[in-house]
Amino acid sequence: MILTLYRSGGFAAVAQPEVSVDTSTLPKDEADHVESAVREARVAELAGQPAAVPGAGDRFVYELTVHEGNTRHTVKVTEPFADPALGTLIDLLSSYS
Amino acid sequence: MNTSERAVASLGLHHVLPPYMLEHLAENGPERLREAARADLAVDRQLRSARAARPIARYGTAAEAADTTPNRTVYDAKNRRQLPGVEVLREGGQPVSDIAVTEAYDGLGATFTFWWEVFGRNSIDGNGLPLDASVHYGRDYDNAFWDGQQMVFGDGDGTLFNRFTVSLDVIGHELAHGVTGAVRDLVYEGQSGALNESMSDVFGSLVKQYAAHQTAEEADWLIGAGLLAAGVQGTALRSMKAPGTAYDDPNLGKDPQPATMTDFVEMTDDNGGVHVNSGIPNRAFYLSAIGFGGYAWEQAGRIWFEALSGPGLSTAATFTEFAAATVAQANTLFGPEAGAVVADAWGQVAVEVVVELPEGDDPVVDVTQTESGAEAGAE
Ligand SMILES: [Zn+2]
Repeated sequence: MILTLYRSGGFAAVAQPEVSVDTSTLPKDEADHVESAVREARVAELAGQPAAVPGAGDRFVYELTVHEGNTRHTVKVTEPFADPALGTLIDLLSSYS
Repeated sequence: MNTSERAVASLGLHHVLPPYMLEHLAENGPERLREAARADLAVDRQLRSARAARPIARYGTAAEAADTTPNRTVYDAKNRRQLPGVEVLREGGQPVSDIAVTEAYDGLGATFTFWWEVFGRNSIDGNGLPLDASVHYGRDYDNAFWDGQQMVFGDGDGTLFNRFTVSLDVIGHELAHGVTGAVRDLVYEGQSGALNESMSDVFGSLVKQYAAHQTAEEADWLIGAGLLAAGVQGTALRSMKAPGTAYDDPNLGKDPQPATMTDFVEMTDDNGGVHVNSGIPNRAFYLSAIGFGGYAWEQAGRIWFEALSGPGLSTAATFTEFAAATVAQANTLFGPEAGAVVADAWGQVAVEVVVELPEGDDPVVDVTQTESGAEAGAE
């Protein structure tokens, strides 16, 4: 499973360089941990959100791609997240930057 | 559509008359009123659709509106990403040792005081809405934001950024997003998004200037002074006086803000560069404030707020449309010399202003629309 994360926007508007994690290169425990975090966050079921939501400002926008076998799913999500599992996944992926 | 449109200024009747009465006036009223009533109806529909989008989560209750003192609550998110977190300080509570909590609480107080004393505005919505803020959001979190209901502050990573409660103007900036959402919810994308960002920088900076009793000449016009961590090469995150010069650092990069329309940046990130192109209207505000001299909130600040809240401004306003609105407000509030100061400021940042001065008793404003799909609908 190959995961990429790109963060943009925010008050400071300093984009975070894209983070890429290939779980096949990780030790088994670590790979399992990352892959289960992806499943917990149910990334495959997430629909993209509109970038401009009324009445908010300075929120980070995350572009998350999950590439597994022949499937590739990209989703753009804006903070805050209704599901805390998504925040956990983003923190985990950010730790590889 | 690239033609110039002449829009009849509305009468502001939508503030007092229900839509069915406006419709009656538009159809059967005296001829002179019919056109204005139609314009008002268009504004009314626009306001209704903006409200339908729920730019703020709720408005203050009658009891909250009757209380003209702040009603603050600060929460500790405990380095998680769930809001609001644990309540740690409520209005009038005992001081706490956590500096982020104290800064948030005091900053919200200073921001409330600014809006109340300068604009007679009771909190974000004008109805005494309680002010909620969460600190210690996320881990090493380099951001502060307004989620539509409350303010959220991260601790910063310590290498690039310090905690986001450190600058009063950042707190004022976030709360101003709430005010903009309640007054005219400028679409957070492209030019209207950059205007939305600029409003927050303008009023965030004015909160700081008001608290420090600084004139336009004395103010530093920096956004986020103190926010850059020790060792980062820069003075702040943005400069309204000299956009593009706030920082230049090997790790952080260079301040990307343009100072004039000539250098407007087309980009897809950051909702189309809302924090980048805001440098242009920011500098127009700075130049207006310097043009007037003295306290920036007295003339320039008032003009900007009236232009934002005036009925003619679309939620998809362009820089040119907003510039016209500020010049018109300057003329109305402070006379033609003030209008000239503001028009000159926009001219210096290369934003075109097309305004016809009021003639006689009929306020007529010419708005040149340079982009299709930005129609205000009032014709
Ligand atoms: Zn902002």
